[in-house]
Amino acid sequence: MFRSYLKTTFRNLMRNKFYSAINVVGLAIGIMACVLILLYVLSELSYDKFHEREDRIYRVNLFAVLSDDNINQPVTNPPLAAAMQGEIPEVEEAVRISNFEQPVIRHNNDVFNETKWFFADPGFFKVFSASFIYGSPENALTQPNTVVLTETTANRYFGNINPVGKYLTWENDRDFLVTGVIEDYPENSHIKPDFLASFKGSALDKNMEWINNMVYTYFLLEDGYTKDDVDAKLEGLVTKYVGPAVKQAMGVSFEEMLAQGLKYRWYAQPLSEIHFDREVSSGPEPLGNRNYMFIFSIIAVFILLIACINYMNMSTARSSNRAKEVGIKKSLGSNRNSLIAQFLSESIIITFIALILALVFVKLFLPVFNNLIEKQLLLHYFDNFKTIPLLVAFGIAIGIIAGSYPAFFLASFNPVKVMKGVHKSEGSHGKLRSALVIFQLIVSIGLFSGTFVISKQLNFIQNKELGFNKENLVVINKADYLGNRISSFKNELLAQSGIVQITNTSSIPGRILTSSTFYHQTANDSRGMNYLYTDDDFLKTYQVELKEGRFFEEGNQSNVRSVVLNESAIKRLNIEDPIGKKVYEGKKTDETAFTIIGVVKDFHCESLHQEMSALVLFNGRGQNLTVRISGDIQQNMKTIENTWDKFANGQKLDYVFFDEDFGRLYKAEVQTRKIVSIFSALAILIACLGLLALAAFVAEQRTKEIGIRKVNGATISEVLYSLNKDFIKWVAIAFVIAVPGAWYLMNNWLENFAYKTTLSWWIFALAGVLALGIALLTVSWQSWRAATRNPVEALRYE
Amino acid sequence: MIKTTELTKVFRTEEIETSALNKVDLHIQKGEFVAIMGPSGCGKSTLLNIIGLLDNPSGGQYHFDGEEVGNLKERNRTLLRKGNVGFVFQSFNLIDELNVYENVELPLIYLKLKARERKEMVEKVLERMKIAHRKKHFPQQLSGGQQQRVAIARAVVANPKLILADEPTGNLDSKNGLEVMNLLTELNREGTTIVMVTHSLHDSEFAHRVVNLFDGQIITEEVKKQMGEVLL
Repeated sequence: MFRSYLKTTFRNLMRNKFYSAINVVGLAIGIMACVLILLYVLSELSYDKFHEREDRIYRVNLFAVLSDDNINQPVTNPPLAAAMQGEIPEVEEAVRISNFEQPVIRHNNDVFNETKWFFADPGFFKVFSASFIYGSPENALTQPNTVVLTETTANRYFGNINPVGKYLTWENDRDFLVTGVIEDYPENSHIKPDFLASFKGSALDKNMEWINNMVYTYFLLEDGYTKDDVDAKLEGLVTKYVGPAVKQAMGVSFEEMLAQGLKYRWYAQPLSEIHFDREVSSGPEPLGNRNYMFIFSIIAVFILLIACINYMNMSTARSSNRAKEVGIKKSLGSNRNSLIAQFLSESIIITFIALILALVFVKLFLPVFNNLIEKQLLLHYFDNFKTIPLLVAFGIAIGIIAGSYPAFFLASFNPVKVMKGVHKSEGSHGKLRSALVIFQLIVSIGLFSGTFVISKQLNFIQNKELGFNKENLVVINKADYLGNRISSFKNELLAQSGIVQITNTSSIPGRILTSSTFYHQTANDSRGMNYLYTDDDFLKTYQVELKEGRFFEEGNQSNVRSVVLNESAIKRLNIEDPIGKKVYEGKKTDETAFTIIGVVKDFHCESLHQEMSALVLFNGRGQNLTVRISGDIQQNMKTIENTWDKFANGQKLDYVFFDEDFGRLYKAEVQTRKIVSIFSALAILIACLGLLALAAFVAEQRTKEIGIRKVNGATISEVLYSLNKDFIKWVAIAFVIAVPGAWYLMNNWLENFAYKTTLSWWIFALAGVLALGIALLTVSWQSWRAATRNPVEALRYE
Repeated sequence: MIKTTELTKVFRTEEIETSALNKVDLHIQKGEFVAIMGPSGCGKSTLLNIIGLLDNPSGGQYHFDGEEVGNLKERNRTLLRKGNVGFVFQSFNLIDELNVYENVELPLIYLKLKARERKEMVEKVLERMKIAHRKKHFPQQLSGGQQQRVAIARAVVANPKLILADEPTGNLDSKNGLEVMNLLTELNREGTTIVMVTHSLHDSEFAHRVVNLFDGQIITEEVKKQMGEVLL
C-alpha cells in the first residue's frame, strides 16, 4: 500500500513541477528556520546542565539597597568562600572565581592578549565538572602559580603535545606551571575559561576586605539541604563580618545604617537560574534573553506555518486535478479513511523530502547563523541518540499539520458528482484559502514593521548626540603598565603628527564605571553615583563641554581635593550655585571632602537603555589612555604602536577603537535586527512563493472567464485589476489586523530604552506598502500572462 | 463594412507552420447575413476571430468600416471592438460566477456606461430575449436554449453593428436552435450585420449568402437571397 502511495506521490510531484517546487522549497526553508532557532533555544535552555552536580551548585549574589541605589550583583568579597566553608555545614565546598584580569601571556615567541583567564580555588573541580585530558582534578590547582588549560588553548600555545610541566609567562611577571588540560567548556556554559589558574598566590587570595566585592563565590550544597538553609546562615555572616567592616569604613554602625534603610543581603542563586536572571547583573558571560528567545521561536513557528499554509492552499486549490482520482478510487471501493491515509502519507512524504533539503540548508546556513548570534551551535546527528528520532517526529508532525486539512477535504469528494465533472473547488474553501493567505500577509506586515522599528531605534541610538565626540578615538587598555613613564609617553606621542589629544582615565564611557555614595555638604543622606578618574585633558580629548567653573589644570595643587560634576550629578545632589561647594565621598569627614571646581554638560557614559547617569570626575590616573587622532588611521596606529613599544618594555599594545567598543552596548539589538530581518525576509519569501503559486492557479482557473471578459471589451488593465483585486483586498485586511498588534509589540520593545525613537505612522504605512508592492509584483507576473493571452486561445477548445 | 484582401493567417509552433487562412478576399456589406461553412479545421473560426478583431492576420489587409485594422495593437482592437462587435459562441461562454443580469451587463460595464443606463438597456434586451424572469439565475441553472438566449442578449445589448456567431446552434436541440436562428434573423432585419460560422445546412438557409471555406481558401460563394428581400 505504502509503495503505491509513494508512487502516486512522486508522479504527482513530477507532474506539477512548479507547484511541487514551491511546496518543497517553502517547507524546507520553514523547517530550516525552525531547526536553527530550535538549536539556539535548546542551547539556551540547557545552560550549565552538563555539570554533574548541576542541581547542587549555587552562586552567592549580593542584594543591597544603599541610599537610593539598588544593587543586585553576582560579585562578592574574597573572604566569603572560606567563611562559608568553615561556618555553614550545609556547604560542601565553596570556591572563588575571578576573571577580572586580562593578562598578556607568552610562551617562547607566542604572545597573546588573553580575555578568558580565570583564577579559581583548588576546589573548583569538586564543584564544577571538567573532563581532564592531561593531569587530574584532585591536585591541578593546589599549588600557587599553576594553571589548567582548555584543549584549544593548549593547542594554541603548545600544539598537539602534552603541555603538563611546561610554563606560561604571565604579564612578563611570573611563570605559571601547566598542571592539566581539560576539554573546552561547551557553548552553553556561563563560565567559559581558556585558563583556570590557582587562586593561591593571586593578589586577591589573602584579601580580607569584607566590603570589597570583586570575586564570584560558588558553592556545592550538601545533599539533602535546601538553599534556604544556606540563605539563613548567610544572614548571620553579614552581621558577623560585614557589620564591623562597615563601621570601620564609614564610621557609622551597621545597625544605624539598617535603621536608615540600608539593606545588605547575600543569597544563593541556583546554577540553573543564572543564565536567564536579568535582575542580577551579568557574570562572566552575557546573559540569555528569554524575550528574544521567545520572539525568535514565534518567528520560526510563523515561517513554518506560512510554508504549511502554502501546502494547504496549493493542495486544496488544485484539488480538482485530483478529484477524478478520488472519484474512481471511491467507486472502486476505497473508503474515506484509506483515502485520508493516502493523502496524509503523501504530505508526510513531501515533508520528508523537504526535511532532507532543509538539513542541507541548515548545514549551509548554520555557520552564518552562528556568526549572527555569536554562538557555536552544532547539529549532532549521531552524538545524541535523540536527534534523529526527533527530526523524524518533527517531519511527521509537520506532514500531518500541513496535510490533514487537504486530506479530509479531498477524501470527502462525492464520487458521482466528481466523475460527472460538476465538482467545484470554490465556495467555503475559497474563503478559508483567503483567510490563510491573509494570515501569511499579517505575519509579513508584522515582521516588516518590527524590522523597521528596530532599525529606526538603532539608528536613533547610534546617531544620538552623546555629549562627546566618539569618532576618531583610539583607546589603549592596560596603560597603567607604563607607570611613571605615562606622561613622557603622552608627550612623545603628542609630538607626532596625526595625534591630537591624549587623556588618561580610570575607565571609558560605555564600560563599567565604579560607583560610590556621595553627600552634599548640607544634606545628611547620600546618593549613589558613578565616578571616573581623569587627567587634565579629558574634556579636550572627548570634546565634552564645560558648563561652568573650570576643569582640572596641570600642576594645580588643589586638583587632588577637587571634583568636577556633570549636570545630572548636580541635580541629583540638589546643589545650587555648585562652584566652590563641597561634596563628600563615602562618609562626611574632612578627608573625604572635595570642592566642586566645575560642572560639565551631561554626556552619556552608559548605554541609552539607561537614563543619563550622574557622574563625578576626580583628578587622577587609570588604566586607559584615549587618543584622539586625525587623518589616516593606519598611519596613526603605527605611530601609536611604535611609541608604545619604546616605553613598554616589551609589553604588547592592547587597543580598541572607541566607537567599536561603545557599539558593543547595542550588540543585542544589532543581533536582533539581523536575525529579525533575515527571518522576515525568509518568511516573506515563502509567503511570496505561495502567492505566486496561488496567482498562477487563479489565473489558470479563470482563463475562460478572462477570455470572455476580453471578448466583451475588457482591456488588459481591466483584466489585471479584476485578477489582482482579491490580493489587494487581502493585503488591506491583513494590514488593518497587523498594525495594532505590531504597534503594541514594538511599543513594548521600545520600553527597554530610556531614549527611544518615535513609532511613526509611516513605519507601518511603509510595511503595508511594501507588502502590497511585493504581493502585487508576485501576483502580477501571473496575472499579466493571463491578461495578455489571446482570448481566442482560452475559448477555442471549449 | 468588412473587406479583406489576401488575408492570411499562419500559426507557428516550434516544429510546424500551419496556414489557417490563405489569401482570403471577402467583402461583407452592412446589413448582410453571411454564413461561413466548411469542414473542421478549414479556418472558419480563425476568419471569424480576425473579423471580430480578436486576432490579427499574419498578412493581407482588413478594412473594418473603411478603416485598415489588420495591424492594430491589442489595445486599439479592444477599443474598436467595444460596442461595435458582439459575439455568440457554440458553448455560450457565460461567466459561471455571474448571474444572467450581470453577464448581459458585462459589455456595458466595459463601455463605462452609468448604472442607470445599463439597467435600462439590460432590462430591455432581457425582455426582448424573453429571459427577464430569469435574470437572477446563474448559468448552471438554465437550459442550453436559455443560456444561448442570454449569450445573444449579451452580444446585442450594446447595439453593435456586427454580430459574430460561431456555431450558435451547435449545442442546442432543433427547437432551441430554430429559436436562436429566428432571433438572429430578427436582429439582422433590424440592420445588424451578422457573420455566422456553421456546420448546419439548415442554419445556412437563414443567411443571404454562404461562403464555403476549404483549407483556408474561399472556394465557392452562393447567394441565397437578396438583401433587399430581407430588408423589405
